[in-house]
Amino acid sequence: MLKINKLNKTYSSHIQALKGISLEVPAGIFGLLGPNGAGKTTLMKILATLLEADSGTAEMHGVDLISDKDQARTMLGYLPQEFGFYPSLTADQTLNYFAKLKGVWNGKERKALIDALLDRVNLLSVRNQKVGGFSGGMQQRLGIAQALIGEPKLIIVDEPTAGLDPEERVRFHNLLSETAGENVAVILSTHIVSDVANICSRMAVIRHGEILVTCSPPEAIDQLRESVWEATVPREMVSALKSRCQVISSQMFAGLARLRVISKGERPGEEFTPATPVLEDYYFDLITRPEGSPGMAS
Amino acid sequence: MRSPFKTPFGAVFQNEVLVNSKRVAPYVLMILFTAHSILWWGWSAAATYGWGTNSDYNIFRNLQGFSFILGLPIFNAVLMGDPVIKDFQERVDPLIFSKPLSRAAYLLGKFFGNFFVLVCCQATFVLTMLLMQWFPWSRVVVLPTRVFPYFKHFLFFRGHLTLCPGSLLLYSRNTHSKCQDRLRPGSFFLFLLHCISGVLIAEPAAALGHSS
Repeated sequence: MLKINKLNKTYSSHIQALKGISLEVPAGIFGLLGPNGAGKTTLMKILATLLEADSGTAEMHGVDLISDKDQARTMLGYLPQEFGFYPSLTADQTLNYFAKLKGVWNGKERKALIDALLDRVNLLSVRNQKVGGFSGGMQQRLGIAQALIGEPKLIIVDEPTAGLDPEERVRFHNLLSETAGENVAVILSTHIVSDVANICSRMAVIRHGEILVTCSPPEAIDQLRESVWEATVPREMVSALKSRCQVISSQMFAGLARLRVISKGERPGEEFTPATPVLEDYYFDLITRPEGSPGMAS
Repeated sequence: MRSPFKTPFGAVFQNEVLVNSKRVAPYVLMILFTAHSILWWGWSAAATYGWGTNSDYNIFRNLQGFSFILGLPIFNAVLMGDPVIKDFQERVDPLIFSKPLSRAAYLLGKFFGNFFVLVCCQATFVLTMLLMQWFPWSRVVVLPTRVFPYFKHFLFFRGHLTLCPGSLLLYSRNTHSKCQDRLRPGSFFLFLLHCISGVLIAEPAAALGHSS
């Protein structure tokens, strides 16, 4: 659906945020994983037509999102990482404004659309309440409602679950899953690995402005089958084990350390037991590798 | 032809009026301006020297005072220009600009939406003066009831005084709103237009005020 080709962006501070990124995003939910400062938000802003790319193209249904901004905006919905609403307006008035900006001029059509959207994001009962009094989760849901106006073909959501409580997070995941369909691509940019594992059909990992790998979450996990080991050891042993094994995560608790390591086919030590690989193992393994080393999947 | 209210400019304009209608400041301004109008009707120089309080001269004189004392032009300009900056500070801008809307339509909608609200507030000053004709004091001289001079002086004199610094501020603020290439020439043209209209319209109006 969306084809990104050799996208480059360097800021005036000489920071090269994107280094020739090429990516194919199919219909469904596509996860873009990466640590802070990897270039995720820059890529999202360029796709949302809010930032100029230095070079490259991003084509969807024959429209170049980079050069034909007006046309691109009619078919995209965007929920940025940080956003705000007019606090004195109600949820209804807020969506009414954004629907007009999206070109829904017919009053009856607009009202029906807003009713449907508020119902979908479970805000119908608070439609006449001021947005300024909404919780973070409610604002996030209103944010996704405004992104859904006008049946967008591409929905871009940037770090949407940061700061949400677990219940709101699940609700938000369900909402995104319902939204993505045969003709709709949703790009979910996040550094929360479990978000991608839970709802994405495809994913890419980005680091230092480069795509390291593109695959599906099950494919990624498959590559670590029978390679992940776990041990709970005294803290003092951690540094020795780190020099001996490829440690992908270590968690401290009650004077002990729980380590997860990667070791293909060979048990790294007596204290280790086999562990079921999860997407986080794959992600940590990938982003802690030195630059230039080959990816595990493509 | 599509109604201007069914354009992105119209949407921003209407939203700006709606947002302002929920603020306290416009209502406070209306009360302030109404109170001053009553004060200047019954206790101004017109009452002291026995001028006709609804004469062209006194209406124009009051508006001059109102424009420079109560509705300081730069204050008006800030009221019209700052909502744009506020959108960027409160992060509403990415939601707006990811919609099919040009920056020019957005800025002009903001500018004229706030100008409209401001003019409505200021109009209470003139409307109160107009209504006061039907409540004559024994101490003031009231000529036969008239309506047109109030609108004439308000729209031409007050309106242009408000738009003039407003457009200048729009010009300067465009630097921050990333569309100076399109809006800067436009707002500079608006500024020139108001200056010229000030010379062509306000001065003869003042002369007319003096002569009546």
